[in-house]
Amino acid sequence: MIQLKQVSKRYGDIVALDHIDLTVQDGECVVLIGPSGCGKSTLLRSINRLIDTDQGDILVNGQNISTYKAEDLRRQLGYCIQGVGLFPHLSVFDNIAIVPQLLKWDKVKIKDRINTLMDLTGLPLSYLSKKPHELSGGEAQRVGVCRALAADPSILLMDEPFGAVDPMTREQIQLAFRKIQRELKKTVLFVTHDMEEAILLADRIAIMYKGKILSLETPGGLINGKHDPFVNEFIGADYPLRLLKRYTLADLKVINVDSKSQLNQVSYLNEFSTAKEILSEILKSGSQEIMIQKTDKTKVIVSYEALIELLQKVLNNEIV
Amino acid sequence: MKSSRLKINLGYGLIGLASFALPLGEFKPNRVVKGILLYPIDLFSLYLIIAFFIGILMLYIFQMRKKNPGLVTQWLLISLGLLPSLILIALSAVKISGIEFNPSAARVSLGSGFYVLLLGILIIMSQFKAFKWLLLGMVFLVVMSVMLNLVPNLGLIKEFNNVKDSFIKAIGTHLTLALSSALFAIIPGILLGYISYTHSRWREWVMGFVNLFQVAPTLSLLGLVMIPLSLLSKAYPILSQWGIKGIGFAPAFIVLTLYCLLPIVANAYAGFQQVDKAIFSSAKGMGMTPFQIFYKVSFPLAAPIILSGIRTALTQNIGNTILAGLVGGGGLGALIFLGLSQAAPDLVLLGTIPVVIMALMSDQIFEFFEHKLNHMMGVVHDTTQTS
Repeated sequence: MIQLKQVSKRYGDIVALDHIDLTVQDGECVVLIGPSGCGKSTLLRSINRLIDTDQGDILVNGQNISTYKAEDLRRQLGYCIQGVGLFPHLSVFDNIAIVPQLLKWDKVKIKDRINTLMDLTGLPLSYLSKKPHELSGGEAQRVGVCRALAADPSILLMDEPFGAVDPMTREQIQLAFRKIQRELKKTVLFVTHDMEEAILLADRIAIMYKGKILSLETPGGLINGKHDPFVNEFIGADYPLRLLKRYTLADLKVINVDSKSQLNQVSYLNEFSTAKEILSEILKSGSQEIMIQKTDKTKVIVSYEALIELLQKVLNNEIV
Repeated sequence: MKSSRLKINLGYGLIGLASFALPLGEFKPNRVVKGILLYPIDLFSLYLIIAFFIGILMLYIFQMRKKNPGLVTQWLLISLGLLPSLILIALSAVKISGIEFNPSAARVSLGSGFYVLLLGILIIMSQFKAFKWLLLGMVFLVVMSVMLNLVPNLGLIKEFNNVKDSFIKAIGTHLTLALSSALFAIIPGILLGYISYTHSRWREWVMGFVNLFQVAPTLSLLGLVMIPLSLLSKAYPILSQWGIKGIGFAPAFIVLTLYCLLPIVANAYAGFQQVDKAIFSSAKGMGMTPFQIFYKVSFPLAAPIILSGIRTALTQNIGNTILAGLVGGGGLGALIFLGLSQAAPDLVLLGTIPVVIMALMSDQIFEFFEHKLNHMMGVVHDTTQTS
């Protein structure tokens, strides 16, 4: 758990953090989002004491961070930054092994741990001896995630970790990260400027502006337009549509059909397709419903009403 | 290809100039008197020179015409490679009639034509892949003609025979002084570079400090160091027993060390500076202590650039060590200044050649290690790198 109580930080006349109160619950992923210079990175970096705050208390797992030695604190928090910051002179193995080595784990344990992590992030073990410049952007990001998870920290601090990869790779790695996060139940504070990324990954989204958190809501809860004008402007009028990306076929009400039916079938959709993709296909087909074949060959029909129903449920907080 | 042809033309032009218009050497009845200039025509018959020139020209035309020059080029390069040693042998064997001289004191110095010719040959050779081997072969031939006593009357050889023992000793002293003073500057240089990187406020001071030594004329710096050193050794006689006094090894060593600082500090600073800030902050964010960041991350990543600074420092230091000759520090500088004071250019040359060779060798050796290190550090000169 991470708790911030009335945390403030100034740089000369600029207020980077203005009496911030924020609690990230155990196993929760909070995404900080806002325009450049809103203080989101400052907030993140004040937690592992890369930045010293002027006022307020920050507690990590109930203990004030000022009672730790800075290096000891940082070794307990997984940290992943934009551009990954892999060390070019070390192999993938040595890059991941850094924090466990700093914590003086024994060699067998480090090796086991690294094998587990490579498996988890879907990287082949043969990559362990490669140097970072031999990896593609997406692979390097995965190694970055491995490195942040290396010493099995309960808390992860992610500073725009997927910001530097191309959109296709980014989406893959976001989904991979979401899967890992749901499996491992880490407490995550995630900084981004990409709303789609926030929608996809967040349990709660914190929108920051000029050093303040203007809104702290679940992605669904943000739809209810009862906040600050800046927030409404920031999330944009098409927010409900973008929100559909968070949900998949599993979240929609469907009708099972006979597998021989040939009605309006869209071949490349399956149960992993997002609600946004399904909506696009319905709009494209010109009808009220489409049929989707799942990977197990069973077929279902999804209707336009089912999508409306989903958004209503999200609005009423029945689904997060 | 265009620039390569231009260079080859330039090379031939120089060879042509030297073959007809410039003196290849100078015959001196003894060490100090002004000698008689020896033009190619004095060494070889006019027919031979014209035949040589036409031969070279023919080879040149053939070589330019043919797409794959092969055999012609080989002949051309071999004849060019033989030329310097042949000229040296011819110069050494020259006989001047009509003046009286003592054969043991008489000597032949190299003239401008020889150097221009050599330059022309090198320019042509440098256009071919086998340049290093050609150069080695040429040097080998010259060394062999010296070893086989084919060029006994060259001024250089005469001077060498005069100062043989002190020459070899001077090379030893020179190397010791140059290496030890450069070595001594490495650790302080790297640390100063690191300090100016981590403490930007100190940077100006550090850079100003090391620049000072580089800007100050070496001679005046030597003078400045000599005064306090001689005062010190007077006040504490034990120091002079250790060899620390106003003249000799100590002031030369100190000045050379100070001189080595700038390239090392500047490169170390640049080396640390070019380490990606993201790498630095992720090292810090993972909980490395400042010392761990230095020796596990910053230093290894800066190492190739630091090494190239050390390379510059040492190569330059081998040249600068000549100045040690002025303060009684010995080395090849002592021979060179002796030659200057006696107006004996051959002695100056004798002292200079090993300096040049040592500097080139140190440069080559470092280049080799730099390459290795770059490879080890995973440095690729690839701008498409995403990580």
